[in-house]
Amino acid sequence: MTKSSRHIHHIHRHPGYSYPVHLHQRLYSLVLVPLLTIGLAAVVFSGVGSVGHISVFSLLGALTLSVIRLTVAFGFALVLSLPLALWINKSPTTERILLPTFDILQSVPVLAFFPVVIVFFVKFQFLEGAAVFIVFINMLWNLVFSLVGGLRLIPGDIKSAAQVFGINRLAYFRRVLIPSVFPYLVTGSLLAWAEGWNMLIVAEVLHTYLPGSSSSSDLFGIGSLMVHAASSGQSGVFIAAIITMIIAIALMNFFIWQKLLHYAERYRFE
Amino acid sequence: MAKTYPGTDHPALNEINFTGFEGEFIVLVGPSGCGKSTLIKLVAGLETESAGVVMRPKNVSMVFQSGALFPWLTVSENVEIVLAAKGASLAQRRRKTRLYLEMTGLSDYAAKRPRELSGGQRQRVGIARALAVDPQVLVLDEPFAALDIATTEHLHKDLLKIWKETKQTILMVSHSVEEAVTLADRVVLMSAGHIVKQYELSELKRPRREQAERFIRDVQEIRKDLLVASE
Repeated sequence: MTKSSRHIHHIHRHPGYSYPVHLHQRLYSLVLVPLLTIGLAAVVFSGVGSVGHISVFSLLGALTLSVIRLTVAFGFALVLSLPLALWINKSPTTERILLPTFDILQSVPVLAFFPVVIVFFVKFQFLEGAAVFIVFINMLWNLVFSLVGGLRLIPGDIKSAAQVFGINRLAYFRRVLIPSVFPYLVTGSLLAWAEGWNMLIVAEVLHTYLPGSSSSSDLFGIGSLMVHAASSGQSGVFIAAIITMIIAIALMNFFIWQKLLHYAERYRFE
Repeated sequence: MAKTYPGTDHPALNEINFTGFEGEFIVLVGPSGCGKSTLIKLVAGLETESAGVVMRPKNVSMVFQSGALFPWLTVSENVEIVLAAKGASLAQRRRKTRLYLEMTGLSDYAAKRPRELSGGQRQRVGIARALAVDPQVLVLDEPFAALDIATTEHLHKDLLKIWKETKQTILMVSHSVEEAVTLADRVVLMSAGHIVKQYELSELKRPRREQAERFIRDVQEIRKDLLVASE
């Protein structure tokens, strides 16, 4: 038995392709999510329908708002990442100039200019925009660099075949380029969301970056809920919020990312 | 005609004067880096000449060493995509795909994806795809280099059968002198960007047997010249 096959627990079969499901992925869905749900239930029921000063509905409402912010930020990042990656990949010259430029931009800590972003959005009375923007910037680089990697790895013969057979630009984009980078888009998205969850905790707690403001200027969400609970010593709320967040991440991972990662295998060049 | 790649002083091809005739099976042989691939890329329109003129046929298609199949498409979709690029209607695409998959013995594999096929089957898909667009010239870039001997021999027979049926002009690159003598009407020996010598084999009857005296003599002659050219 080879090293890799030892870890493969089961093979899922789909029409036209198959993919391995590893043991840890099964454990993940069968053990981690139920365990966390039991944990959350225990915390909730100890407060008889509420956790500290927050109801279960508020907890889920906070999660929903946070997920909406992440989704909007991801949508913008997704739309912008492909043109940027294509721009970098356009020629050796653009790559030579743009890649280090974007690399530097990526290295600049987003939080360093977060106050400026907030001041900008406050002008338009649109604080949601500040939170979404900061998450979007973080997500963007993961997607861009993943896509650049994917574009580089399109085999020369595939490009030549498209050229020889006269596949036009639109068809090439739709039927060759997008499928070619799809696996990298999925891994980039996975990393982007991980970065997004991380950034959410800061993005929703705006008052720390707004001079003379109070916690009332914060955005209601799972991130701000955790920060407020921690700072006010509401350990029940804090634990419930953190478990809720982990369950959401685990469920997304199992129902979206794992499935997409497996599906993307059929798009990989050998 | 000559070809020099940007950023290099040394021409990849120099003083090339070469004509292919309709329905002819030509095989290019020569040491690595002698310009065989550059020559077929020029014919296929993947490269442009630096000097002189290449009179390209209007419709050239190509079979790649790697197969260059789209892994996310099924076998039939891999053929249909190039027909769609040529503006064929859905009915034409279906009809031609069925025809060429049948011709290459892949009818039972139409719904499979390339990774589910063997190396030989993948190359058959590449051949079916290339033939489907009714090319004036079919270019093959070392299509059997990565295959085992038995599969290669089988594909040689199939390729010759298809060639007889379609009467297409074939320009193929090979690293094997035996393969060249088995298949070609004309073998073109290249070295250092030049055409060194051409061997007319059209009068040699097919199927050619490797044990036949003439076959052995031709292989030995080309191999001897190839060794000199490689020095």
